[in-house]
Amino acid sequence: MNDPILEARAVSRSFRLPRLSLTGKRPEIQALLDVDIIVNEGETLGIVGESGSGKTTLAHLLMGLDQPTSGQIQYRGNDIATMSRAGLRKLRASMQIIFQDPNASLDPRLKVGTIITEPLRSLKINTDHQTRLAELLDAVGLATGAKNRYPHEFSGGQRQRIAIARALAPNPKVLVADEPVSALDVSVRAKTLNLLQDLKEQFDLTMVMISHDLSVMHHVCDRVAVMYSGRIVETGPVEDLFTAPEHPYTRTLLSAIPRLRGGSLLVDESTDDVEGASGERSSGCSFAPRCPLVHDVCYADDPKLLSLGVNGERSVACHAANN
Amino acid sequence: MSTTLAFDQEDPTDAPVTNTPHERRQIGANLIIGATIVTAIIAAALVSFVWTPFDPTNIEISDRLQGVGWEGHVLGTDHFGRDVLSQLMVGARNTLFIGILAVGIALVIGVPLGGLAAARRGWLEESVMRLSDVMYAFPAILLAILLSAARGPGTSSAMIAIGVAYIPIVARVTRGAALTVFQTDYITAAHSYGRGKTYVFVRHVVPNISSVLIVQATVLFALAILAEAALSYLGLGAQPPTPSWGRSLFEAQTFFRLRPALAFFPGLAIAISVIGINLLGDGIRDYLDPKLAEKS
Amino acid sequence: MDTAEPVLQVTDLSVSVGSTPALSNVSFIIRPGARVGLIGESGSGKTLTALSIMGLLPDGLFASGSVVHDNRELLDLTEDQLCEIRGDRITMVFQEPMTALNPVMRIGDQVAEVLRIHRSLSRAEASDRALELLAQVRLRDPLARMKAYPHQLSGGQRQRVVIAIALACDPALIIADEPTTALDVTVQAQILVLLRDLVEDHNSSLLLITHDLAVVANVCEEVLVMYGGRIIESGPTTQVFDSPHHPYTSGLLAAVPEIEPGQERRERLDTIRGSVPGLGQFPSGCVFRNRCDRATDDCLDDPNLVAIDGSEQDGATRMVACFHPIHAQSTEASPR
Repeated sequence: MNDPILEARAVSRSFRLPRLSLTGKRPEIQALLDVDIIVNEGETLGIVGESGSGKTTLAHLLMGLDQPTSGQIQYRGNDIATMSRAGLRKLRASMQIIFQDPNASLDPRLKVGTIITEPLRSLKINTDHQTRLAELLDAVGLATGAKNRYPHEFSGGQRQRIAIARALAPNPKVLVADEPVSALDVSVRAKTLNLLQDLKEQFDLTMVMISHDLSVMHHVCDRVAVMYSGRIVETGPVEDLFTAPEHPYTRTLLSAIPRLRGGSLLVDESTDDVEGASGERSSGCSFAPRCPLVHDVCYADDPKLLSLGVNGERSVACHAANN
Repeated sequence: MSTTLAFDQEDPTDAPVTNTPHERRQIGANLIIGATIVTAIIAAALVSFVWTPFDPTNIEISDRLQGVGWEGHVLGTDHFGRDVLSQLMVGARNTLFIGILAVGIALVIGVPLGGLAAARRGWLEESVMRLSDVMYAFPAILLAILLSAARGPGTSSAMIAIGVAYIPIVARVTRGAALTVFQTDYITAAHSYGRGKTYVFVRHVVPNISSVLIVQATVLFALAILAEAALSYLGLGAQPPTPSWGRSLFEAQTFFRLRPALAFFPGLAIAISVIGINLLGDGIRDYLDPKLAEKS
Repeated sequence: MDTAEPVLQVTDLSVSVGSTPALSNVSFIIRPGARVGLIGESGSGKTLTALSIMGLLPDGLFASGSVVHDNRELLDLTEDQLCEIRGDRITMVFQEPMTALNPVMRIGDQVAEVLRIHRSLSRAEASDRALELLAQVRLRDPLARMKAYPHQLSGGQRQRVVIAIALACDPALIIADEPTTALDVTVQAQILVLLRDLVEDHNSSLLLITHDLAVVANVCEEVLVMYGGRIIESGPTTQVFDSPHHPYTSGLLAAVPEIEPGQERRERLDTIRGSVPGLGQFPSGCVFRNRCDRATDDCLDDPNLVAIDGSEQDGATRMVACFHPIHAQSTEASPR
């Protein structure tokens, strides 16, 4: 296994909401609670979770776009909160992000060429911008003429390629992809996933892929972390995790995927209407109200993410699984 | 080239969706009509510096209240026998001056203020918005009276009063529009490659809220013309004998039964310029929108 | 042979945007109790098909052809007549449940409103029935939910309410346009199962419009595949997905990443060459020929959607519009 390139240590992030009454305290939402995660150089790590699980917050924290309330984010062993200005600029160049909605991630007022070379100007990278632009357009499979057009002249899939080209411009080490194909059509989705895999090899990238789509995760990721209600409930190599899920939530997720062939949806009716994760938390495991394996201990104690087995590749946060 | 052929061979690069190259920006009817009207007003104001049909301030009591076309007075004369057309031409200067500077003051202070509030949420936003509430609640007329007391009445006092009164309006509009833009992914992307909030505001937010600002600016410009007329009526605007559309209009009130035309022309001038400026604003907004440029 | 009269019979439905055809000769039937999936990518015309059926085409667009429901030609009806049918006999479920509900009206009142309009029930009767419906869509504690406003519910709960409204008058047909796209995976599964069961309980038919093939596989027994404004393949879902005849259907299926336990995952996904052309830029003849590996000069003609002999299953026939279909035994598509 390669060295860790990114590491989150006991990271928590809470957001304060506007006051509900004049005298009351401002309510807080705990978006992330005590999250530990390691991204190894060269791997593709998947972060799976439903809306409100904190996966996008985690991605923003990993990139240094947001600061944790407590805990530490390390890039190659250095805490990014204490980095110098020059260090930060380097960090910005080495981590880039692509988003779900290619309509919203490109400034509609700028031409494609300007959009893609923006990071080079911002980070003051001394290369010939036009040459780099041509390279990037070629890498993502767009014609060079694209640079003189506006984003709205392109289809969703092409716009996502433009966003990818912009992210690759400063030659990053880590590419964070936040639901990169969710907004795309089926056939475009396949092409974009293939492209990401090609680019990962071509540019030696480490990828962090955030998605709610387990089929996509299964296809591209080496390792997967499953998030629920602001914490990681299970991690492990993708094949192991998908064939033998340990956490009941992972099982629920897997059984909820509609399969193309021969599958029939399994729905545990008892879980009807208990959805996602609300910001308020009581003590104990946050999945307990939906959990088929729930015990008394689950309401009393918050399970820790503990490694399973001998090689330590898999971890799970569940009282039932850990026993 | 037929589109079909282009796809027939295996092509690793996708052709853009629109097969027509980026088209010229569309010049709409709004833009043409608006620009024509505004140009005509500016031209009238400029020409008035070198030539007017008569001396606009020359009082000839014997020629007072003459009708349209009387002895070369194309639009007649007012109650002091001054030429109405000449007065309107010179008045255009005053109107433009007040409009441009009042809106300028409002934009120059209001836009950064609104941007600041949107960029830094929290106590700073609260303070900026509460401050603008206070200013909003403070009557503009009172402000104008205070300024006139301090600086003496006149065009510049009226202009500052109007401009300052519009700052909270501009700040509010800017903040509201900027908030949505600040939440888009391309702003997050810009932060991810190291752009600070100020750069992002100038480079990404302002262009994307420009349509709102342009429309707001033209509406305010039109309102400024009306406000100037009101202030002049109260004696807080342009001082006699400086011609002003607003003062002409209110002076004409007295003689409305006798010579309705006297009120009609300055009123018409105000109405046409307000319409012209609004059309120009809509036209510029459409012209600047790359999405509209492509449709033909 | 199923002799029952179809709930909906669409024949040669066409819509043009200006002079550009956006829908060309779309024909299909929905039999009573059938759950039909309408699959297509953006620009395929699937939403336009739904809007034409409901008489909700945007201004300036007109549908030609025929849409028959209950012996009435829907395309000829006036707006008032359509309003009687919409929400009563044919109802819709939308993608975004938040915008489909009135934010300032209580949930119970919104469900009851439909009943009061179409069934002329009294306030009390409508309210009782609304409560019943909310229980049917398995909303927990329906009595309390009656008083709630839409923003107080989660996305899945709101979609349940929308489904309750759609089912209120026991419609003949429910058209669901991407009903679960905005929802989380586990909620999606619940809503799909709910929709499937309730359509059956209410003796309604379902037209499910989606881009997600797996959703169709789990809910619908029949499927229509659209591309370039026409239906290019249709038939029983399992047959179509197991052995697609049209190269586009086959390409689409191969592009979906699937989790198959125990099997090595594919290194790369199969893709379809090129990209979906913009409106008006589809080739003449077969709309798919510029992206098709099997295309020959035959494909310069426009293939008809024709039945494949001996493929009938529970009244649903397999049809394909292709001159060179993949492993079909006896098809000779005739030029139009």
